[in-house]
Formats: sequence, structure tokens, C-alpha cells
Amino acid sequence: MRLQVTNLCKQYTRKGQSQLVLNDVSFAISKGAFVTLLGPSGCGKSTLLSLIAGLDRPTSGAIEIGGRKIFDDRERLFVPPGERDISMVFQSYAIWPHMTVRENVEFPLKHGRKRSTPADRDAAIDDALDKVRLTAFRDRSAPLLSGGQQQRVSLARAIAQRPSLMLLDEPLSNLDANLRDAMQKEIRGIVRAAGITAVYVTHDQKEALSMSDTVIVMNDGRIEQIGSPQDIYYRPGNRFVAEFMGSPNLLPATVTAVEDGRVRAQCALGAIEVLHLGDALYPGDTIVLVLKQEDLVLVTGATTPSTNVFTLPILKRVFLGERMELVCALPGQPEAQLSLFVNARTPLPEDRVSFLCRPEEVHYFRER
Amino acid sequence: MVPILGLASFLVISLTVLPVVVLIVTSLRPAGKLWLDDGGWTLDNFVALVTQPNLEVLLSNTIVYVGGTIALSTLFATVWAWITERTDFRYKVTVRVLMIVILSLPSLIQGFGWILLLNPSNGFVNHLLRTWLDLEAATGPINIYSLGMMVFVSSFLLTPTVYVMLAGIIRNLDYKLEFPATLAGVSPIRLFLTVIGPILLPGLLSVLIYTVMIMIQVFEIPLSIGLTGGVQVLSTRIYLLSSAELGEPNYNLAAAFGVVLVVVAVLLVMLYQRLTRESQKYTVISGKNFRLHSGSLGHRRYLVYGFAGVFFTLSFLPVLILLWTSLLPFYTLPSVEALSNLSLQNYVNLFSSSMFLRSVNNTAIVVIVGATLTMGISLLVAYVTVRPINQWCRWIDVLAFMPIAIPNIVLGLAVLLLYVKTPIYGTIIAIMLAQILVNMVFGARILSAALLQVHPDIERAALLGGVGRAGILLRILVPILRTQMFNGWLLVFAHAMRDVGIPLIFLTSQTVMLSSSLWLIWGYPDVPGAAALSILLVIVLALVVIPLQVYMARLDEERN
Repeated sequence: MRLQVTNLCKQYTRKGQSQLVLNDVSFAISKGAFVTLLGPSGCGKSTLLSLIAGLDRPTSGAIEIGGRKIFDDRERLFVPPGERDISMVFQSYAIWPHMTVRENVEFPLKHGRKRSTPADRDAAIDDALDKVRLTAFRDRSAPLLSGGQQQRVSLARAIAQRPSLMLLDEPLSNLDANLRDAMQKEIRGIVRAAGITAVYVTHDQKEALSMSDTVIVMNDGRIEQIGSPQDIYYRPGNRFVAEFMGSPNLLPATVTAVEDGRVRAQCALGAIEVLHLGDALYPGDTIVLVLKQEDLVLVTGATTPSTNVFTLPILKRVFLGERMELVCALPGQPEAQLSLFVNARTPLPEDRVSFLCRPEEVHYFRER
Repeated sequence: MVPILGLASFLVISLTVLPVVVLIVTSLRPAGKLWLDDGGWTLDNFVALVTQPNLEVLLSNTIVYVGGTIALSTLFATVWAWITERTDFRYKVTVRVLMIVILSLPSLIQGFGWILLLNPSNGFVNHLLRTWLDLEAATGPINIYSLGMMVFVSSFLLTPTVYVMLAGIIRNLDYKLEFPATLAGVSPIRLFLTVIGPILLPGLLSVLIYTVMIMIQVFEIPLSIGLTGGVQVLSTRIYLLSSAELGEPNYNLAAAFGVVLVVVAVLLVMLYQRLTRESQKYTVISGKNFRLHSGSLGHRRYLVYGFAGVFFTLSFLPVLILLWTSLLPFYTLPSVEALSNLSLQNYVNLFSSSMFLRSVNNTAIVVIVGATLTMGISLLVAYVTVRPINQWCRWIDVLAFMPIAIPNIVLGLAVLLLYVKTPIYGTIIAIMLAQILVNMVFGARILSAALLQVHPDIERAALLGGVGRAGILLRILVPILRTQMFNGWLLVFAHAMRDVGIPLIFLTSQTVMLSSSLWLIWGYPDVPGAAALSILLVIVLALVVIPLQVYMARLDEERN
């Protein structure tokens, strides 16, 4: 394991009031992986990052990087940040304004932990600047660059140190939307090419889905779910993760039967059939169904009643550009609604819409 | 971090805390015994302090002097701040620059100038008044050697300081706050009382406390004007007790006075820090602003021109009379006939005086080395207080800030008591150490304000790369802060150059400085020689300080 975090807690005490910002966090990351810490602001993800970097001291727990313990509260072990073999890319870029691009990359190599010969150093600098495509700007004064270029300098500086772990703390949140999309792909490509294990903090779920091998969803100082982007998106383990990843339709349901790899349940739509996930489920159990808006398939023409085909009255249509959102009323539940996405050019009936939800595309979880 | 914190702690304790401790110990020793002398403990000095004759006169003089000066200069400063910030007055930048020029004039020189203008027998203004008003008397009508005139003279010196702070407050006020009320038809007076006033109150109170701190320690005007007129205030009393001016110094009684002033200082600093913390709650007084259109002066602008003419003439008249005096072989009232006697002989005489040459030498060493050391120590102190790693760092902050309110003369006395039995006493090193203690406050304030603007990530990026704290300090923070380091250096340089109290306390034939030799030459009396030296000092300070200050004022102007 490249990074192993075990039972990590962080408690702040201020004016006699203590607050647990990290509550028993454990996870492991394998070498070369790109892992995202995802969560709303205040969930503890940035705190976790600064604990890994050694910029702050955990209250309890242990951290290991590349098999080497760098923090353990029982052994009173605390390796200072400069000796952890970590580099970091900051939200604020943290470019040294009095240096050129090249000097920014060179500085840690020249004055830092891993001092190398001038020849090796030059090779590392050239390689890093080449990877972020800033070779032409090497002698430019760093503050004269644009935001995106400054962040690439920051990235080059982090890569050139060839760290065993690279931390990125919301590096794109100061950039505008278009540049952010381009930089996401770029950072992912550069880090993969350099073969560096990376932990990336973000509050943007799209960023997390498009960049990561593994996503760790955090909320309120705890880890809510760890999984691949597809897991997190299609198979949320609880209500928080589901709502954070695009607010799908969540329908409470009561199990009526479990047979042949299928679960039959009763929900606001009526009787519904979904794929059994293999967990211990018995008739009478309550589950929450996850129906992604884009998985609901429009059924046109004669609507013959069949399994998992439902017809609902349309409350309103919202044009979103690449698609149309149809908000439908649920029978017998005036406060609840169900929405589905359709192609905006599809001709629609005036008042009612029929749709199919495929059993294998419906996920469910049980609420604790 | 630990070695840096240790070094900063050592410096703050040895430079700031130790002298104050010695001061307290000395005040508790019997008369004639110093802090390390074996003489037991006694409260006699405090008893002597309370029972001395004319204590009530001393206190009332100090209160009238401090209060009167603050009241008058606040009046001037408020008018100017309002004119330059809220009206369409055309010469705003000129006013700001002139204020800064006044600020850079040494107070002792201003005092000498005013004496030449207003002394009862041959003051130039008195002479003119007697001629114009056809007065029979040989003296008067105005007597500079009085408490009232001390207040008048000092208020001209204090006005720029108050003006800079008030103008800053008015400029940074968020006009968005008054806009909704104005749109709703709230009258300006009600608006001021209910919206603007309460928001500004903490800021205004902290300005007031700061000016009280400055005024308690003002020494040059009470020295030059007050002592001749027999008007003593606390700072001059301490000077007289701790110098040989009136016979054998009484260090123990002086220390007792000093301790009382230190207690007052601590209380003022605590109040000040409390208020400035309060004012940070009103975060609206910062950030981006749009400006309400300035009020039109209309015909009132002629009134403002008149005020400006009188105010700035009075501010610069002392220097002009000194310039005149410095060009004549003996003091002569300005007249057309005297023009034929103009010469530079006084300046030539200065450069052939061994005391002057020694003082130039001493001043150059003390001021240049001192300012450099001050900025180095200030950087360490600012660094550990802006990036605190534990509670002790906050204590360093408080301890390093404390000297702001303790009169220079008391700090000088404390340093003198610390080194009086060591070889350092009687050398210019003692002067340098005392001035470092005094000026560290300003250096540390400038650098910590600048450091707060540096994002912590800038350091973390180097820290994670394994760069040590000393490397970060020298290779990253110093280059980033080089402008502020340089500005701070110049400020400390100017402060040290103008300071009179500390050089006088440590005055020997070996340690004479430009400012103390000015006092000696004036006292000979060699008025033309003193005038020539004054003008030289003004020129040196002007060459160093004014271009910088004007440049900074322009920067501020552009930013707004």
C-alpha cells in the first residue's frame, strides 16, 4: 500500500468547546492510484490532506506512506512534513512570486530534502516543464503567467520532486469553468504519465468522477463510501452519497418477494422489480430505490401494462439544453415528485408520460 | 521552527523584558543602589514619588498637555481628513504630501524654530506684532515658554499622525452601508449618529488611545520649550532625574516613575488591543469599495484655501526661521538689510568642529547598523507571531508590542540601568540597543502586516519540499517582503536619526550623536550653529524619507 490511514481522528478545541473534524477515518491507496477525496465544504477532506502532509498534527490514529510510518499517536511518532517525501499542489498555486518558472521548479530540488547534482536537477526540471508544456515559459517571471499556467508551474514543481505521494488540494477551483475542464484531463494525464500516486481533494463531483480511479466520499468528518467512480455514481451506499452524486429519484419501497435473482417490491409507483444485489433481504424489509433520471426510458405509442412500465402525470418540463427534465407527480404523494431526463427534441404527449425502468438499472440501499 | 522560535524568544526577552525587569528591581532598591547591588528591598522610592512637592502640578501639566494637544490636533486632522476624503478639493495629493513632510521633521528642530519665532524678548513674530500693534512693552505679547503654547506647537506636530489614521478610516468606510439609508431618505445627521458613528466608534477609540500613547512619551517639545519655561511633564521629569542635567542622577526615583508609566502603558496597550480586536468584527470596513460622489465645496473652497495657507505656513515657519538663522553669523531678525550678511560660515564652522564630526560618525554607525539589526530582529519576531505554533508565540507578540506605549525615555533609562556596570555603558552600543528596543515595535508591525498578506501555502510548498525554516525565511520570505523590509528600514532609520531622548540619557563625550550635539550646541548657546545643524538634519531626513513617503502615498492614491 502506498498510503495507509488508520483510525485517524482530529479534534479542535477552542474556548473549551471541542469539535471532531475527522472521526475515525481509515483507508488505503495502492501505488500509482489517483484517489479523490470528495465531499461538501467543511466535511474534513482538506483537514485530512493537511494531516497527511504533516501541516497539522492528528489527535489519534496512524499514517503510513510506502510502508514507512510517518505518524502514530501511540508511538508518539511525528515525521515533519519536509521528511515525508510528499509534494503538494495548492488551491492558491503558492507560486513564489520573486522567481521565474524554472527557479520555482528548481528551488525544492536545490535547497530541499532531495538535493541532487546539477545535471540530474536540470534533467528533472526540463522533464517536468516539458510534461506541463511550459518549456517556452521557463524564464518568464512566475506571477506574469495566467492562472492556468501558474497552476501548471505548481504541478511541475510537485512532479519534479518525484515524490512517493502527491497531494492536490482543490487545485482547479480558482479557474474558470472551461479552463477547469481542460485542466482536469491535463492533470490526470500528467500524473498518470509520471506514475505518481495522487490524492486529490475536490468538492466537485464531476471532477471526481472524470479523474479518479477511486473516490472517497466524505461527510461530517466521516467516510461515507469508497469505490470506483461508477460504484459511487450508480451504486450509492446511502442517502448522502446518492444525493451528493446528482440527486437521483429515491423511492422508499417494501420488499414483497425475493426470488430468481430479482427483488419484487411495492413503492409509490406501484409494484416494481429490481435486480437482487445478493444481500440478505426478506419480504417486509424496507429499502430505498435509486432511479437515475437518465436511466428511465421513454415508452411511446400504445402503453400496454407490463413489468416496470409506469405512467405518471407531468407537472412541469424544464429545458436544460442537452436534455429535458420532466417532473411528474407521484400518485397519492402530493409532496414527492419523480423526475426523468429525455432528449429535448423528443415530441412529448401533453399531460402524461410512460416510462420503463430496467430492473438491472435500478439500485437500492437499506437505510441504517 | 524551534530554533527560530528560540532565537526570537531570546531576543525579545533580552532586549525588551530584561530592561523592564531591571527597571522594576531598581525602583525597589534603596537610593543609590542599583539592581544587582545588595541593599535589600524598599518602597521608599514610591513613597518619595507620591510625597514629592508639586506632584499635582506635574500631573496636571501632563494631563493638560496631552489632552489639549490631542483635542487641538484632532480638530485640525478631522477637518483635513474630511476635506481630502469627502470633498472635491483639488489639491488632495498636495495636502497628503505636505502632511508627510511635516511628519518627517524632527520635533526638537520644530521646538527650536518656534522659540526663535515666539520667544518673548526677540521672537520674530513677537517683534512683528509689537511693531504692527504699536505695543510699548519690550517683551511679548506671546510667550512661547508656557503650557498653552506647548500645546499649540505640539498640536501642529501631532496633526499629520492623526490625519493619516483618520483619513484611512474614512477612506475605508464602506459607502454601501450608507447608501441604502440615503436612498430611504434618512437625514445625514441621523445617518451619522445611527449608522456611521457606531461602525466607526471602535476605530476612532483605538486612534484616540494610540495618540494618548504617543503624547505621553513626547519629549522634544517639553524639553526644548517646557524646561526653559519651568513647565515639567512626566517625560522631562524622568529625563532630569536620570541625567546629569541638574546634578547627580537619582536612578531609583527615576525608575519608580518609569514603573508607573510602564503600568499605564500596559493598561493602554491592553485597551488598544481589545478595541482593535473589536473593530475587526466589523469586517465591512475593508475590501472592495465604490465611492460615493464627493461633496462639492463650492465657494467654501476659498475658506479651505485660507485654512490651508495659514496651517501650512505655521507648520513650516519654524524651519524657515532656522534656515534664515543658519545663514547669518549671529541671530538677527529677518530684514532686507540683513541680507547682505548671508553666508555659509556656520556650516563651515560645523565641519571643523570635532564634536560634530564625531557625532556624524557615531550617528552613521548607530543608525545604519541599528536599523539593519532592528529589521532582522523584527522579521524573526513578526514571523513567529504571524505563524504561531503555540501559545508562547502570542506572548512574544504582546511582549514585543508593549514598548509602543512605554515612553522612549523610560526604555532608555531601563537599558541604561541594565548596562550601567558593564563595559557597554559609555559606548554607542548602549544607544543602539536602546533604539533597537524602541524601534522593533515599528519594524515588527510593518513586517507582520506584510507577512499576513503572504499566503501560508507559499511556505508550505517549500516546507513539503524539505526546505528548512531558515531557508524559507531567507530565500522565500525576505525576497518577497523586500519592499516592506526596505520601507521599514527607512522608517527605523528616520526614527533613530530624530530621537533625542536616548542619546541624551547616554550622553558622554564619546557617545555624542547628531541629535544630542544639536541640544548641546543650542545650549552653549550657539544659536546659528544649532540652526545650521538643524537644517542639515532636515535635509538628510528629507532626502531619505520624503521621496519614499510620497511614492507610497501615490501608490495608495492609485489603488483607490
